[in-house]
Amino acid sequence: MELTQEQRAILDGGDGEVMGNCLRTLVQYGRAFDAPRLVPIKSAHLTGSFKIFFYTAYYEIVSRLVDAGIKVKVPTTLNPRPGYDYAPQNRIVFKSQKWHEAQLEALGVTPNYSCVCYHGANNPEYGDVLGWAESSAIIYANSVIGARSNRNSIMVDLCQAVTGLTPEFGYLYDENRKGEILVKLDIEEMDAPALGFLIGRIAVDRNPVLTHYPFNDAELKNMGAAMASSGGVTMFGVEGLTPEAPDLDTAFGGKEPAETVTITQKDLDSIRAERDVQREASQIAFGCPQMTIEEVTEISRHFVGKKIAKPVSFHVMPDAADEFSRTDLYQEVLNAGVQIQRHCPLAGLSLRIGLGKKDVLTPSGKLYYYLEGTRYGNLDDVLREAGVLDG
Amino acid sequence: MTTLKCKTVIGGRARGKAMVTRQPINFTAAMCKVPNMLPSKRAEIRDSHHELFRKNIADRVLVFPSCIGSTHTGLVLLDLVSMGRGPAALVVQRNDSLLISGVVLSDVWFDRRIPVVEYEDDDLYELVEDGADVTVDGDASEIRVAPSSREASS
Repeated sequence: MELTQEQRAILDGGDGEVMGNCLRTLVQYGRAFDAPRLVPIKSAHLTGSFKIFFYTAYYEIVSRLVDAGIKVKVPTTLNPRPGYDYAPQNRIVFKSQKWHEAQLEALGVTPNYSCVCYHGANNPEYGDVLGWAESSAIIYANSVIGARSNRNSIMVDLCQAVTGLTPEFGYLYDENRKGEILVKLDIEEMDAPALGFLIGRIAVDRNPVLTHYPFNDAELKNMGAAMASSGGVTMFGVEGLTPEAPDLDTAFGGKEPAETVTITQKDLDSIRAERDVQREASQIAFGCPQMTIEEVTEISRHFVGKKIAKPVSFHVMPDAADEFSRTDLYQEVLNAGVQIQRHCPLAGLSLRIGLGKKDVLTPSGKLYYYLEGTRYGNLDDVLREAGVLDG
Repeated sequence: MTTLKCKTVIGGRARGKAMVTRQPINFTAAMCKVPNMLPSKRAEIRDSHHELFRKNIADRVLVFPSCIGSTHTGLVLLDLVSMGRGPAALVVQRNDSLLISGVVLSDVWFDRRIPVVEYEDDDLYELVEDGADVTVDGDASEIRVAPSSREASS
């Protein structure tokens, strides 16, 4: 890898041993992909916002950065809180959560506490190079905004934030951003998270391009998050909708797709749990990734004047939750019995196991993948089980 | 002895029993689960979407196509590798930024690493059987598979 004189000095310890190790991490990471150099990033986003009592190495490294007085060099946002106060057992597993938050804030991180950083706290533009972590945010930034980030891990994200650099490889290059799989849709009723879940399985780490469908922003967010859970998709395209897929020819870089698949209504429905299994769920969770203001407003309309049949939580971006709390609709959903939460549903709900395992029903493809004991239902299924939809 | 030429991603040499799957692995979904938080069970695949559900990957040479899912993957591998409680080596068909990160972090910050090699061809699954005695030699860019006891006696 070609390093500048300044970068070589940092590696040699010119800015201290800890800074040297941050840069060395990026150099070794880049070498594994034959990256020719390190390039500047516009912003960073960190995924390691939880203090999990059990994992120790990451927190030790963060402490070393704080002790060395290091600060982030570029605007850096942070993933959601894990729901420390949500359940007594969470206080054990997320012990020292407050200490960890103070550590990250001492590094100069923006305390937005949302995985949907790209709506408000950290807004990249088309073509920006980013050093992000959080698979759902990375896929949104690449696909929907046209910014450029590889799937960066926890801690590598922080090394990028404090150096303002990332190794140049992968999705930073035009040629790796072209479509590889053409996904044709043969469906009557759209269910974007289920579609994302299926595409992730098929594509694994290749770039899928979908034939045109007028997805809204929340659908793009939730579909991408699912693709990055059941698969390792970094970027997808939708013909005539996403910036690098104005038409199929451009999306595939003038080449033929390596594979063409058709996803049918039957395929989509296969992700939904059977109705009697859905009925067994004792809890319903929305918002993985967290709900935006548009999304929470739209979903809330179904709850006006109703009472929920089983516990329902909306996991909302903190900024959006603040905005929502000033509306009349907010009172309506509270009256219906819905809980509005600002933390990550995955972390918050992970620990119900062992204290009387309770099945969760969710319309999130990502939460369905990660959370043990979770069933998937499309929006109508979930609203029906919540008791706010007839049928 | 069967010798496969591979591409070295991270150097070093390790030997162990192969654990083979054709299904990509989501390390976050697999490892960030309560049973792995107990001191005695730290590396069990607890992803119920995966065929290796409940299998322990500690000290195994893990042979799989690629890594999928969350960017927390680095946290999982950093911890397992830095504490010497993870797989002995990783053999992947397609190298991946998340898979590499945890191993690089452990190397840079804790001076402990495991070899990671890439072998793209699908004949990987015919040449390396589950349970085989495998040496991953990142320094020589070789995967060496010892003959199974059945073959050796015939």
